[in-house]
Amino acid sequence: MPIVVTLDVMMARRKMSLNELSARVGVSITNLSLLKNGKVRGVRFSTLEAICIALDCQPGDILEFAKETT
Amino acid sequence: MSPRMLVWSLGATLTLSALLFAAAFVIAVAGPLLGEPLLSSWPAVQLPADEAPLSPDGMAQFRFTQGVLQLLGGDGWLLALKAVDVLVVAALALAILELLRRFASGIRDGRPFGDHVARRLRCIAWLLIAWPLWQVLHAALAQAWLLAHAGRLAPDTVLLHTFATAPPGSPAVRLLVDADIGTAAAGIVLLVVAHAFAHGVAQRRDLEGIV
Repeated sequence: MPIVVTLDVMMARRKMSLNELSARVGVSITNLSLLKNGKVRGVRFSTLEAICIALDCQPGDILEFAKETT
Repeated sequence: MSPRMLVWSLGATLTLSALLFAAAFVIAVAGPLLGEPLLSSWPAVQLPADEAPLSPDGMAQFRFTQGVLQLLGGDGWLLALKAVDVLVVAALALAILELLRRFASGIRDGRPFGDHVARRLRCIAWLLIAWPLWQVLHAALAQAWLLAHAGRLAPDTVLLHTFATAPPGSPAVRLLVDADIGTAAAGIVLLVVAHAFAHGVAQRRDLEGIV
C-alpha cells in the first residue's frame, strides 16, 4: 500500500511506549500495534485526532505517501 | 435461551415435524389406497346467509357444517392433490426450520453476521411468501375439481367458486380460499430485514481492519 505509517518514528521521538499511547488514545494495544506495523486498512479521523493530540504532531508526521514503483 | 439450547430445540422440532409430516403423508395416501374413504374439507359459506341449513339429502357425499364443506369420497386426482399438498407444505415447513437451525448454529459458532446469514433470511422470507401462494393455488385446483364434479356430488345445491355471484332462488355454497395472509406479511417484513442485514454485512466488511 502506498500509505506508510510512521507512528513508530513519532513514538520514538516522543519517547512514548505503546502502552502509554494506548491509554492516552483509548485504542487497544493490539489495534495500535497493527496500525504501527501498517497492517490496517484505514484509520478513523477520531483515532487520528487522538493520536495527534497524544503525540503533539500532525497527521503528516505519522502517515506518508510513498509512490509505488512497478 | 442460550444459542446451544436454541439449536437443539430447532433440531428437535425439525425431526419431530419431519416425522409428523411423514405420518400425515402415509395417512393421507395409504388410507384411501387401503379402502378407507377419502375425506377432504374446504372452508365455505352458505348463501344467502339467513337461509335455513342445507338439507343433507341434496348433497349426496357432502356435509356442510360450521363453515366447512366436507366431502367423503373422491377420485385419484383429489387424492393426488391431497398428497402433493402434504408434500409441498412439508417441504416449505421443513426448509424454514432447517434454515432457522443453520441460522442459530451460526450464532452458536460466533458467526452471526455474514453473507450466508442474509441469504438464509432471504430464503426464509421467500418460503413464507410462497406458503399462502401455494394455499391459493391448491384452493384453486380443488375448487376446479369440485365445480367440475358438483353436479354429481350435490345435485340440489349450487357450488360457487370464491369470486362467483350467487344465482337468485337456489341455495348455494361459496367455496373460500384458506390462505394465511399473515404468513406472507411476515415474509415481506423478513425480506426487508434481510435486505437491511445484507447492507449491514457489507458495511461491516468495509469497516473491517479500520482502527
